[in-house]
Amino acid sequence: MKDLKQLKSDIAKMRAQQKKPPASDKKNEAYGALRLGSDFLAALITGALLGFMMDFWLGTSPWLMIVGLFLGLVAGTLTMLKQAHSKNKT
Amino acid sequence: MADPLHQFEIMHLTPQMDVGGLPLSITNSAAAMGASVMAITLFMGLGMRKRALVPNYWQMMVESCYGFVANMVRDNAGKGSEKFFPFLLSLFLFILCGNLLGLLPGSFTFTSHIIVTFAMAAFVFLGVTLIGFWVHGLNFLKLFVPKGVPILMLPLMILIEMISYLSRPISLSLRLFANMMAGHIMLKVFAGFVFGLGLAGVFPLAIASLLTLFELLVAFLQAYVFAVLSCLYLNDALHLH
Repeated sequence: MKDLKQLKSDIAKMRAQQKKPPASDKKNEAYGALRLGSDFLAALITGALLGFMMDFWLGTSPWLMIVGLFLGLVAGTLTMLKQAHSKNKT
Repeated sequence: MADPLHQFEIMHLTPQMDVGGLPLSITNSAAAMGASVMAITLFMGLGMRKRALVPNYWQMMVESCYGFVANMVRDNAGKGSEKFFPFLLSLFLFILCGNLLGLLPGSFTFTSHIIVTFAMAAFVFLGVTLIGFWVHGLNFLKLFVPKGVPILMLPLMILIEMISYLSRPISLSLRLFANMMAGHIMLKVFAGFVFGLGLAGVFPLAIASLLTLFELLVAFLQAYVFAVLSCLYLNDALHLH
């Protein structure tokens, strides 16, 4: 009986150790940095583009594009924060 | 001095035919895409010809490609995603083969044009959004409402969430396009230095070869990043967060 219990605890210990590495850390890091930078730039561009399209439609010359740029900046920063936070958790 | 941007020019390989008002022809970009599709078809078709239970080397390569993408889809897109595996496999292999074929001297990289990468990213984005609406109905719009936000700030937060959702196809296409174009421009610039320097042209040649090696890594990495992010967006659509 004691051998079985020992075996069970050994297996549980080895399983806990196996779950630790998330999925080849190096690959995650490599494309994580790429994602952060390009997602921020893309959110900035999207905000500016949406603002520009609203400008075109409503005719309020550069103001909506500036508002869109600012919103894009905020959106990009939030995206980066979310990504960095989720990567630190797992 | 060679022009590093000449490699991205679209050249018409056949005379232009009028198809419904559009002057269409087979361009070098279309030929590169066709070559990529044929290379993938030949690779997988000829590899699986014997269908042996104990695979030979070629079949093992085909099976490992399939298994790699299958694991990626299952890990990143969650449960109901097996239906979308053929699309993601085709997407991954198409981009990978296009990137790799562009490294052969004198050939054309079709992923170095923003319109090509934007078309692919737009398809993925529209497809994922439609799948989200199909699976969840109008509840899909709950994706834009972040949790734990006071009600006064809700309109602004929804606007910001929509901007960050719409930035996904742009980031997907921009990443692939910028990496491919920058890599090839650098290769051409260093290759242009080789002939100008005469005997000391060995140094730019060495740098150009190292850059080609780096571009090989970037080709694989960018195709993988495109496919993984498509899987992640699919996961967001299928299971709302």
